[in-house]
Amino acid sequence: MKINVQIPKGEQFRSFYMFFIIASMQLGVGLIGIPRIVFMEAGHDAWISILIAYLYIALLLFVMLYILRQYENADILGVQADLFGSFISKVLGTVYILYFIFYILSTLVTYIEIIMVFVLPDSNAFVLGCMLLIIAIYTVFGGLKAVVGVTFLFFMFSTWLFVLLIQPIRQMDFLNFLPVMDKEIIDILRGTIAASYTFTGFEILFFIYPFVANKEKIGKPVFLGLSYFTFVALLATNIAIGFLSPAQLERRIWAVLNLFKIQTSPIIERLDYVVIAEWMMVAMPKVILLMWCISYIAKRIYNLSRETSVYTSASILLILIPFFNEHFIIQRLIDNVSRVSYGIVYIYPFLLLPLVLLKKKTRKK
Amino acid sequence: MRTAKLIPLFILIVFLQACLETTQIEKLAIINSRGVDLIDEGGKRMIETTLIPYIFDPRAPDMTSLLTGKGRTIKQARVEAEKQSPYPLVPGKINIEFYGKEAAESGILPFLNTHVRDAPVSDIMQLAVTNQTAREILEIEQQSVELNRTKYLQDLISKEVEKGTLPRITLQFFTRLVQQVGIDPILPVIDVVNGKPTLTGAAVFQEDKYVGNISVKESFMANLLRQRLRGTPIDVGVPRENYLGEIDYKGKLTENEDSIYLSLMLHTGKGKIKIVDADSLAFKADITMKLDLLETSIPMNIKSEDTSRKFERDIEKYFVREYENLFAKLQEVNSDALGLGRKYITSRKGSKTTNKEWMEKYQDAKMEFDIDVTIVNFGAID
Repeated sequence: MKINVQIPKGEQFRSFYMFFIIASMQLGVGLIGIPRIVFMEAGHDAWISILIAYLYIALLLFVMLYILRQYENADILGVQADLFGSFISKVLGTVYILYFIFYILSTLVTYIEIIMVFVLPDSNAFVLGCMLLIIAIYTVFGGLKAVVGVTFLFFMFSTWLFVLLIQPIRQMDFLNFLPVMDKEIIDILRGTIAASYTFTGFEILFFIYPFVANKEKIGKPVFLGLSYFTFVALLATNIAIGFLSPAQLERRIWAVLNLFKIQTSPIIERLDYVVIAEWMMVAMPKVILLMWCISYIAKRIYNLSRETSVYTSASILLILIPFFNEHFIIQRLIDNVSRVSYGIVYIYPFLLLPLVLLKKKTRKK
Repeated sequence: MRTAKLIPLFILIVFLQACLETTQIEKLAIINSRGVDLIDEGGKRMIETTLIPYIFDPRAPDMTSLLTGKGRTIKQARVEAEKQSPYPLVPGKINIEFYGKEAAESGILPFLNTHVRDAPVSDIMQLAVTNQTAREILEIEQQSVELNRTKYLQDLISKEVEKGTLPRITLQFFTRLVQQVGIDPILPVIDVVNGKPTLTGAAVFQEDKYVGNISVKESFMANLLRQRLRGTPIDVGVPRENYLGEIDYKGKLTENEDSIYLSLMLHTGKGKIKIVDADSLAFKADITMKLDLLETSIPMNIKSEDTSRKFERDIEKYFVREYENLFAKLQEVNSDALGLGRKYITSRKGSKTTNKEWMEKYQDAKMEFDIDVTIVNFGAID
């Protein structure tokens, strides 16, 4: 396996789009649940937990970029091949594929569950999954440029959802935030860990990096993407804490949707239905980008054609979706995916860093 | 070639849509108002719901009808009521829900549970209490009201909420306050007066139990401590002997009255509760009101700024008295509708004060009211 990859000019894109890629990868169905998940651990100091998560991930992104910059134009698979040899790199690449498949699965089944609870209780998970996956398959067949384009457009088309938060913001009770630092520092850190599933997604940097045309400018959009998501997560969490009482927040599984339930307009009384439909644009870029990643890794390590890998992974997903039809099974899936992500996403780059430095030193000698 | 490959996907996505359920609005009965009562049937406590659904079917002679059903749970009672309806009853647009006296006094959280769990139910549904049974109110509404029948009760209340005389009474807000330690909710009371459903006052709760009645004015005063208000009509009485020089009219009608009654409009008003001393549970409320004078019960000539100041001081005295009465009343029924507990709890770091602990302390709480009134406008004459 080659360490550095040659990307034709036509397939490269400007670093500016990294902002949308990073932000869209982090946005998703996880955002709907984040206020409650963090609140359960950190209480009304949840915002501190989220800020800590932000700092940690900023450091992590810095390390990831540092590792990638040691090579001319490599992705994580190339770095691993350089460090551990071709075979281990293939094994690790397969781990990534499996992780991404389950990551997509957790995203899809959560979104389908929300649709079934809120809008269409009699619908079929398989049918909904099929419809969502067709969008993903179609986009991935268009190539990376189409994937990035869709990410950009979906991002733009879903930002108006902020406007619908005005009513809950006006009804916030700021006493809910007092007293500050009510919980122990350990609880706040536990809140940070609880937020990690929602924050994942930036690991795509490891795979998409070779495709960026002007790599020297990649830092800014990547960090801004992360900052944007952190801002959204903070906004959602703080509005939920101010708008809902602690007892309410502890029991609402999808607290962010509860915020939208209060907003009405003269034409549409129940805007939460619109929000759930619109949330597809928030959730799908993640699925599409991950699907692209799977096809990319499969091509790199097994030399599989895009058709084969996309259809295979989509079929696996479609077969699995109907099995995840109970709330607690879905929760267990999410828990397991986030547990794996602690290792793959949050710790692994730090383990990689000393090895990369060591390699660099020996190479110089 | 590539397009040919994608054609099956396109066909699939079009046809898959048929797999999703569809419901035709003409074939539904959409519940609009609901009443909940507790009844005794053979020694067992049962829930009785009275429903008013909309029917969109153009062949139906009437837009609304009245259905009742009994059951152990709200949903069961609805299914029971559905037996009288040719169309399925859907709860997605319940605008208002009533609780009969008995149901409200026993605690309404169990009835709300279903709404919170059932995601399609609207969070902005309004809640109200009646001193009769909910069934009576809805039956009388169906008979007596002709104008805008489907929204009559809803509008009756929501205009008061807009004016600020009632606090927010949505399902969302009620469940928020019920479960919040240190503040208790207020809901409107609608009773039948002269054969028509009428807003008669407000119900104060202790957690989810209806414990006492306050007037609409008192509900405004409680609301003022919760949020910034404007445009609320206010009536105040000031002692007559203070204004003998300014009275502009002599007549039999007003000769023997002790008070002059003023009609005012709240320009802007806000209130804030502060803790003076957490250990001795001393609280203080700072309330500022900017008012417009609209009417005096005896025509008056407000000649100078002094008169205006005199009015302001008397209005302040009036409200201090009213607030003290309200606070005493609330303490008596053990309801913290003003939200003193919230202030107390947020000032105690690391303590997990439960509602029960606060309610014991609440009895010993003392409250002072500091009211600052300014009359901004007197209309076109002085």
